[in-house]
Amino acid sequence: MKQQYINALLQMLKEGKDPTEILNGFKITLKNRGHEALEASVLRGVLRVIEVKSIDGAVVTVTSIESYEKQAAAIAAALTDLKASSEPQVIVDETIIGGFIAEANNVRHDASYKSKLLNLYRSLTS
Amino acid sequence: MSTTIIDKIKKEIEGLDTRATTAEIGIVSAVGDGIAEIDGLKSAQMMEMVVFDDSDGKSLEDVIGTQDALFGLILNLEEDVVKVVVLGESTRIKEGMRVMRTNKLLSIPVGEGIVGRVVSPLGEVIDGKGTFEVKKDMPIERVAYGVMDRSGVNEPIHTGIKAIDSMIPIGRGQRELIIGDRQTGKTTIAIDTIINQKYEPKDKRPICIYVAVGQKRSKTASLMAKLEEAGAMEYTTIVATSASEASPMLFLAPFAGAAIGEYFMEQGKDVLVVFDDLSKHANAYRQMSLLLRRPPGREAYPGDIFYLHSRLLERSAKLSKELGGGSITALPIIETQEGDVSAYIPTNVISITDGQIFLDTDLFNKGIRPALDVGISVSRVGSSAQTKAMKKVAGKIRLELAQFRELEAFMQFASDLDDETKARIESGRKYVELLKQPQNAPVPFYKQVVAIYAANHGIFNDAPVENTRQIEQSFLEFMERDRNDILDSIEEGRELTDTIIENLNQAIMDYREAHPSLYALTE
Repeated sequence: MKQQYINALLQMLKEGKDPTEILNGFKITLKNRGHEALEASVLRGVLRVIEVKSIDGAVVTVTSIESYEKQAAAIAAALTDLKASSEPQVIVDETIIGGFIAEANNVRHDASYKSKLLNLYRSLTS
Repeated sequence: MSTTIIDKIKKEIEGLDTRATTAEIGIVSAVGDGIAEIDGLKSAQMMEMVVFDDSDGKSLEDVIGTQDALFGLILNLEEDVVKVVVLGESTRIKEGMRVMRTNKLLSIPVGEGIVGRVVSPLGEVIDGKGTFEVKKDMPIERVAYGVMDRSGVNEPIHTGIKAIDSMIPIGRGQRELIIGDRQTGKTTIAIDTIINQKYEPKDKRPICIYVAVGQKRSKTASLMAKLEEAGAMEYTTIVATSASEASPMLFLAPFAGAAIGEYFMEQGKDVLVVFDDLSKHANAYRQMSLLLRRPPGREAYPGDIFYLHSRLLERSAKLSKELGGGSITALPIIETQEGDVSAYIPTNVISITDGQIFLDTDLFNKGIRPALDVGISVSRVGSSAQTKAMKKVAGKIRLELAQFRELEAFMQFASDLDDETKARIESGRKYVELLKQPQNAPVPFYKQVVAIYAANHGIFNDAPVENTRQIEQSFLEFMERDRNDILDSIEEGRELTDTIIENLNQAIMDYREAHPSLYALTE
């Protein structure tokens, strides 16, 4: 039952319906059917699926937009390896120092300087 | 900065892998009580290590300034999520944090340098003496050697405790349980056994591994000091977990001990592993399983609690000659409540092991230490590993003690007993005295043989029971001083030849003549 509710809500979200409307309708349905106890777990389930989907989509982290442009060829190759189907979402994060991190389909391709330096530090100090 | 450090840095920089890394990732959906639920790790394996990425959004300086990498161990693969036990501070984990697979099953770094060190179940050095050279990563969990890879137990491991070496002998590759209530001397027996290995010739001396499961840190520290003082730390590794550590670390400790042991066993060496204790290990596993929401069974232990201990203890083995002939001898310890050996975990481990040494609170309180209950202690395979010399002298001691136990109840009617019964009781009491031993004073096997032989051949005759231990002590001193040749020949030959027996009889007579004051009853 829980899974069916989750699937139905996801389907409606996918169809682009208004989330507030979906939520209100969902609550009324649960009340009419006496399934109020399922509300929290169904919503948690929906949230979980959405979170996992978010790491399925392509995301590229770089230190700046210029850096992204400079490394465009390497990033494109990495995204092809990761079988990314959509245009990547670009995140600027200066803490990675240099290089880039590409994520798609639950796989991370880490070519950042920060992780290299961190590995070096840990191998020296362990 | 010394040149060695500079060299090390240079070497590390030269060897630095600058290629990009690719890893499957998931995200933390829930965390609590040291257990994290991860979404998205679709190809994860059981017992695989994962690493939590708590560096996201933090500068390199901040990450370096905090702690080491935070690892987790996959223990539940469920329909939608993977459940991971956190091997460190779970407070560092946040919901939504990225988790990466390492594609490595949990393993422990091992090398010859681990001997003499104190390490955590993950192989981190915790004695502050720097790192050791890692030669290999040994898997924490692995399938034990098969039947064809093993050979029979045929070599003794001497504990240095007269009562054990004579009546409950332990062989290399055996699993002998030490069981008893709290404060009955269980750890002492294990530690004495480790200390006694210093009397073994270097090429035959087993490497000892002491696994402290959830022990008080003060106890582990004093134990380490004892081993150091006795010179036993040079061939011993301590795998330490304290009572304040998370249950996954306690759960892993015995397996880490076994993995270290296997590294040396595969090189053809003998290893002695002490698991102190498996009761706490079972409790830690119960806690972890309940948190992982595995169904509880008897006494709330999970259904696979027997399998947990059987797969651990099956890893102790005596390998065949083709595989180098190495061995792992296991001395698991179980703490009973009110002497109840029929509880769940004690019966499980009794049935898994090849015998048990039962320590009794009443005997301990009577001053009989080690408080060994000879009646229910047994070694199922060790007798075939006993040295010929010990076998020859030990037969009588068991018989004498059995007869003494039968007659013990009549001791209070001493005045009404016939002379023969009185003599039997007297002799039994002397054997009981002979088998008493102070802690941390193991006796090498050749001295045990001499002492028991002398007891069997009348060295205590006509002497009061109270003088038994004094006679034993001074006789051994006399032998060391005047008849060291006999001790040497027993140590080397490991058997009692006719010549040795002749010399021993003569030595006993010489001793009695030289020490009339100890036989005050008749002299």
